[in-house]
Amino acid sequence: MNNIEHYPVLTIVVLLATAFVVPVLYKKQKLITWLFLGAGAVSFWFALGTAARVMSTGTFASVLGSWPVPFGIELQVDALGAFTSLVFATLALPIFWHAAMTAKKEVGSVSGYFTLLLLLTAALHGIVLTGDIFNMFVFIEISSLAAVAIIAIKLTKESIEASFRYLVLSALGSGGILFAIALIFMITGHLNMEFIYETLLSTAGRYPLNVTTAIGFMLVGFGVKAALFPLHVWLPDAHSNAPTASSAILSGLVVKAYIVGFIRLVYMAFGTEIFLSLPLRPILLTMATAAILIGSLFALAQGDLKRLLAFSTVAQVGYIFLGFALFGERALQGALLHILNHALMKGALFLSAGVIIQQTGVKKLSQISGLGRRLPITFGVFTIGVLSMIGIPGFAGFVSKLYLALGALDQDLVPFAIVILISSLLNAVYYLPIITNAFFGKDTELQGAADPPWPTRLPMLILGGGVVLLGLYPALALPLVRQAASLLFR
Amino acid sequence: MGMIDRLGQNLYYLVSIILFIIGFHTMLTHNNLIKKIMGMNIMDAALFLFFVSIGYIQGGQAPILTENAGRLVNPVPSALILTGIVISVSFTAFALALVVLLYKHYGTLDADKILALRSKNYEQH
Repeated sequence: MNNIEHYPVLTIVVLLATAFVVPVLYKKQKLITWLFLGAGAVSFWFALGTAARVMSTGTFASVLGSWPVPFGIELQVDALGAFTSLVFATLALPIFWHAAMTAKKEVGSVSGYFTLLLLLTAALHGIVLTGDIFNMFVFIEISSLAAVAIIAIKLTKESIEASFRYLVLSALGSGGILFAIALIFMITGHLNMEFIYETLLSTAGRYPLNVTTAIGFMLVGFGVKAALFPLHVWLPDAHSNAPTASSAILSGLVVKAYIVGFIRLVYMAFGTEIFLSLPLRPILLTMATAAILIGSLFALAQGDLKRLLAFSTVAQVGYIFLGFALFGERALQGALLHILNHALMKGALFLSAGVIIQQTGVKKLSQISGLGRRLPITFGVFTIGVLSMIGIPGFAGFVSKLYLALGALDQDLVPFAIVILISSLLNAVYYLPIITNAFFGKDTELQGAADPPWPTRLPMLILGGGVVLLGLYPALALPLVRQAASLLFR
Repeated sequence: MGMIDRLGQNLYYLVSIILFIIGFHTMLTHNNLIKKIMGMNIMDAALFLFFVSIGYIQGGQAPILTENAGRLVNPVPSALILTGIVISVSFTAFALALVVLLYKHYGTLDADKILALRSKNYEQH
């Protein structure tokens, strides 16, 4: 296989091309379902090939349209991009499957939903793989629009209102990012990240205002899109009112793509010297800590199952930013692992919550009493997700939290290790009662409720299994994560 | 004199920043959903002006290679902004479609009223 440098491009192109074929064949339900799942599987294969190539030979570039850089656009595929792209492709499979199973009941237009999911995933791959900042902006815009649309497609009052708010704030974030790109282009004349880095080495000192303003706008832009506290206001409504598969993909993958995009810009385009010369690190540390604590506290006060999960996402985004801002190799490894682990466990939680709502109609935590005995498998998956969220050893969440805490200790920043501990306790306080109530609470009148048929069970079982697998063998993901973290501390 | 000169040289930047602030302010403070979308468009226009004026030089020509080509305008920002405009238009179209749906459901375009209606609805459930 000597054409492997095209694999990252194909990961994106397969999804994009299928996204445009699906709406044309909208009348043939079976065919588009298979096309949709097939595209996910093929892009997974290409992402796997990309990751294998990066692990054996390191970073490689994939030039598009045979225009050499800096004039053309290239995909700069490093361990970070390959890792996140593989996470997206892997997680997309069970989520797509669940979407294919439930779309008819949940959304207005099945073919439209498939198209949007394909477009969204393609754009997410693009954000983490591209080496060109304007190209990244275009992918960010595609993903933002698609992300808003997969919420609105449910066509309920609440989902449309939530998605409009998301759209307005997202547009604000895009404005910030575009402004930052303009300011960078102004002093470097380049859009390719490698070239920006090299030019900034000499010009950044002469135009300190441009650099500071650009980073400020970038922080706000990506902060809004990644729901970094206090810019998270859109997230709880948007994620909790979306169709099930959308919630899983939004919480598990979409916010992560923006975080990785931000990390890539900071490390690869600006470089660590500029990052450390600005007060960016204390700002990020403060925001991340606030996100972890306040996100958990808000989750504590929720009475709605999906809203609780959404607020928990706000806290988990805080973890990832914390690991990134601690600025040590181990902390960064923790952050990257948490991107994978949180995607797995939140995917499992949202899918099982969606199944619970669909099978029983129960949305409130107060009505969940006794349901665990009626839907043992669904609540079993939910329990796995919960235990992993709390950070019980043997589940994936424990490993990444351990790395983050060790990373904080590496930097002699003990308070942040304590923050992680406190937040784990808070997680236990708001998650565990759901489980005990569901399994040991009094019976309700919902006699007919039962686990869904096997095809709908499997996707969440796969995600739950992934959580346990990575909790027992974290070594599966570690090589690529280590490579990514060491690469950024060049 | 120096100040005025510098303002004159950077007039495009100045105007685009003012527009940006107007758009930003409209987007965040107005309750009317249509005005929010208008603010979004003003903000985008400000960014486009800013981006294009980076590549502009006074008296520059369009970058078409002729025998005696003089000072040329940098075509890259203009080309990028074409993409930006397309994105902005699709955002606007989609946002307007959502507003139509919102109006059907709530019967108002006021963001505060919609929020109030929604939370009342929420408590009843």
